Amino acid sequence: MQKYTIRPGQQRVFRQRVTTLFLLIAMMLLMLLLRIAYLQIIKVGEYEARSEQNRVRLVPIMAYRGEIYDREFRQKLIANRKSLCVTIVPAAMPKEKAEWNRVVERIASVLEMTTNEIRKLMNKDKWDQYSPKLLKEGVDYRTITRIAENIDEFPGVYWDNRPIRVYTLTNTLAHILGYTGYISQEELKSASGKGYRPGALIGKTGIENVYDVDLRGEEGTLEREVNALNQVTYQMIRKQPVHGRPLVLTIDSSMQKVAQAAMGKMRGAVIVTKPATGEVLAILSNPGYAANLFYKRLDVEEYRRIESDPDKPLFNRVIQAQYPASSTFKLITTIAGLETGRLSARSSHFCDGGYMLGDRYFKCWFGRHGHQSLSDAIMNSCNVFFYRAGLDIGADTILQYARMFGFGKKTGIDLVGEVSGFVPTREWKRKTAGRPWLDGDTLNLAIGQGDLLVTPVQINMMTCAIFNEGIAYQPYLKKEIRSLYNNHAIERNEGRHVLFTTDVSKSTFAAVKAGMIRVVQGGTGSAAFSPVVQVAGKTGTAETSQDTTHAWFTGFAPADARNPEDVIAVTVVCENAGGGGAMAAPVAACIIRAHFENKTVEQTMQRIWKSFEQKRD
Amino acid sequence: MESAARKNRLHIDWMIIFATLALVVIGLLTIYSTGATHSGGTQVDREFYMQFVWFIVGVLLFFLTISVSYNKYVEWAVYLYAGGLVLLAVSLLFPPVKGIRAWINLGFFNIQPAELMKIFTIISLARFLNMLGDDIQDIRNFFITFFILVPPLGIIAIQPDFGTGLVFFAICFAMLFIAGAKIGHILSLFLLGFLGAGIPMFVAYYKEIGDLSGWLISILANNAVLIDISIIMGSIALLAFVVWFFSRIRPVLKFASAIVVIPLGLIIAASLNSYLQPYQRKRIVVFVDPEKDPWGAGYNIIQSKIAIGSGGFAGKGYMKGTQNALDYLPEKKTDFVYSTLGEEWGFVGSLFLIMLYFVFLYRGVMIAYHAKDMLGSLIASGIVAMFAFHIFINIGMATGMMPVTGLPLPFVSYGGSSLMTNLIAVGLLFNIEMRRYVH
Repeated sequence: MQKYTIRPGQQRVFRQRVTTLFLLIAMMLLMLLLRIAYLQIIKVGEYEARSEQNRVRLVPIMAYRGEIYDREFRQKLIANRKSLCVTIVPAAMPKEKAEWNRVVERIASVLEMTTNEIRKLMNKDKWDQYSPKLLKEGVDYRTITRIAENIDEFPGVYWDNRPIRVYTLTNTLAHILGYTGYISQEELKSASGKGYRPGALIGKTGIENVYDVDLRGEEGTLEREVNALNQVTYQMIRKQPVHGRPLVLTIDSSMQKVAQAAMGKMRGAVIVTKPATGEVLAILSNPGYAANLFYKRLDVEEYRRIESDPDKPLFNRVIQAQYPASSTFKLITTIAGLETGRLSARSSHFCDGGYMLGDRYFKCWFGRHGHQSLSDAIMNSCNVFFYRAGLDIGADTILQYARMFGFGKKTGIDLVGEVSGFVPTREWKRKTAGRPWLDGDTLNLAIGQGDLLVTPVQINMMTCAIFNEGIAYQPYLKKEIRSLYNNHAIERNEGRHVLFTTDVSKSTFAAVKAGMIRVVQGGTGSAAFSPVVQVAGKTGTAETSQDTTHAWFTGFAPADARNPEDVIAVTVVCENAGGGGAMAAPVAACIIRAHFENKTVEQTMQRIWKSFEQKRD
Repeated sequence: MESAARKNRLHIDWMIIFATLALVVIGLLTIYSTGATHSGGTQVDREFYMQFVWFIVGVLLFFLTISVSYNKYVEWAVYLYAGGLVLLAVSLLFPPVKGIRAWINLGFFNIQPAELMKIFTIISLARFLNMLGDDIQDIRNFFITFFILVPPLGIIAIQPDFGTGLVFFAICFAMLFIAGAKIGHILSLFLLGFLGAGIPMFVAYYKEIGDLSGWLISILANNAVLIDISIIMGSIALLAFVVWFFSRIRPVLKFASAIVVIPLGLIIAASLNSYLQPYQRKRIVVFVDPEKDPWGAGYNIIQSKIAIGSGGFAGKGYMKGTQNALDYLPEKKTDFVYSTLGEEWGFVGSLFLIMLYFVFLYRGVMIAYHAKDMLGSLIASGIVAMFAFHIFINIGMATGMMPVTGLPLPFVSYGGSSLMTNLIAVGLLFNIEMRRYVH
């Protein structure tokens, strides 16, 4: 059988070839070793990170937003309520189309939704497949249990607690408190660097928006380990959420309720501030809307209905509505006259029911007032007096004082969407109307009609400046932030941020105040009278393009206060309601008398009706 | 005979025994670890016990193998070869597992006849090459040798099991080389393979990613150009042959034979270019860049690389691999067993593994070197080539250096046919070593 007598190992070629084979094999093993070293020693960092990325899913734990309280820290204006929601992470769903569809069908039937609705919600923010998409909020425990017990059938489906906001004074404070919603891509862009992430909740309007940073707290992090099938193998809290701290507003909730009750169904605005600090005690835009509707954050239909309501409930009239100031502006005309010497306490004009300028007849609002001193003219709101005075003073001076008292500029109240009103100028008139400023314009300006437009909060600031005799403090709503643990105030807003100061003498203010007191004591604002505190005020009845007029009242009480801290400044405007004295002054009376005398709205109103009846008799 | 028997016992290769046992133990430990779950509990998988049982059976087969001289096996080569072919053919009758009809289902156990067929082919090739002796230098005999591969490769192509097919080529090349075939013949064949398979892969990759703008790719992707080049070069070769035929100048013949390979390779490339199916092209793309299809064909390679890479220098610790425990690793008991090992034992463990293989293969080569006859040398080198190829392809695949072909890692991967065949192969090596002084 043996062919070779010598061993193959004794042949040179054979030896060479076996050696070559061995070297080849050694080279192959060396290549493997180098490759392994490359992966395990050089690239270890990258692959470690990717292995963690595989294994760990970080899920945010929502923090409770800070609750919002009234100034006494007694009433919660916004409270939190636990609410379970079901979410889905598209990236964690089965890759296979048929299985994917089955999961969607199953979750739809459990949540009692259609598969189309589910798909639509999942397609929101399609660029982000890793953040949980909200499917349904306010899900009951039984539904969650059904999902949890069959979790293998719901890959990618999760649930968590997303507390909802409950509004206690829902209609009256809806504009002020605002509402929350999921962050939009634009908001995300503009708030970059402030710690917002896709899918986070953010205050959309009002206080919720302005103080979002204070309210939102810090999200926690849940670390979930998942296997290749995306099943959670274990989870732990890596970072506890820090809940938002309570925010105390300057709002006096009982006054707020009174304001709402007094306004009833009238469209309009009320703002009550403390002239001494700028605190806003009550702020109402009527009609409001049920803010609680917005915590069902998906109720688009309801939102549309509110949005298209002709009464514009979403519109915050206190800071967004621009009205003619009407007769309340006569106070500015008075100040301008007294300061420039065109008017004095002894000035007097005769009112025969109107004023003839060229071929136009400018009527007074009330028959004929006869001889009117300055004080009489304020009390009776005599137009003819102010026509004549206005022509004497001149439009430029009046406009100058209007600007001095903050008109045409935002007050900077801590709300979103404030408008600045409008103070016309001669150039503006020429540009827009194509004619120069005429004396007729001056007449209109002197009694607060025409082109000048103001917001209720601006009129309130003017009133504060008159009471403070030359200074107005910026209105604000944030009183303090309290600690979550012991309710101590940890950040306090003392107010007194100067909004504007005026260069007006004390004697001028004394004359104006005296006139305002007479307005309430026996003039157009008699309805605002209180037997206990001295009320000073001014009514206004704004001509509008419609037949009906807007009713104004602005004033303060007590006018004779020893301590200016006790004083409140009340501004009321009622749209298309009628005369200021008849419609707006009673609302102010309700607020003032409730505040100082503990009278209910009904009691105040009954008294006012009685006095109206007596007058008629 | 008595002294011969004593001599048999004297030549026991302890190194190879140690290496084999160590590798089997590593395999068992790793298979045990793949049953770990991250929630703490470990279920001991059925596969762990089965592997142990097969190891015991394999040890019996090992002793059975060494009990008869390898020269006897060579005598029986025809029967073994025929029997292996029948088994291979029978495997085609069984339903496919993961798309491959490579197993004979015995109910309690699946046999993969291709594994045994590797051994039988080695024995048959050894017999044929030994018979040829120096005649292997004749190019005709060189080609005839490959005919031994044709029947098993034909069946394996039907299965189809690309990786196993390649093993047969690797074995054949190694044995031809040791048997003394001409280097020129072997290199020409490599060139043919390089052109015929390399060009289509290159073209397929760029076709699949949809970029054919490069100058080289624009030439290679154009079948008409390839055929033009082969016609020109084929004519030159033909001319050279004619010149040689009349002049009988040797260098001209050499030039002709060298150049004729190129047109042949290009024609194969051109036909493959049009033959490759989109799914096959996709596989090539994924091999080159797994991230192109991270959830599909690239998933295995990516997850395997993540496992190995994240193991780092010292590893994550036995049973502590997250890729393993959380089931990110595919085929973690079989083809990708090294991924788990690399993740849990790190570079230190990998180095130890490679060293064991080195010792094993070194001893294998030494057995080939010291064998008493050419038959022994050829069988030993065939077996060494088989193991080396498996190791290289398997670890190369797990580390993303080689395409995914599904070859097990010798002694470590789970699988009865593979483990038992490997122990038979070790038995053959042992057989050759034991009988190096027996005549």
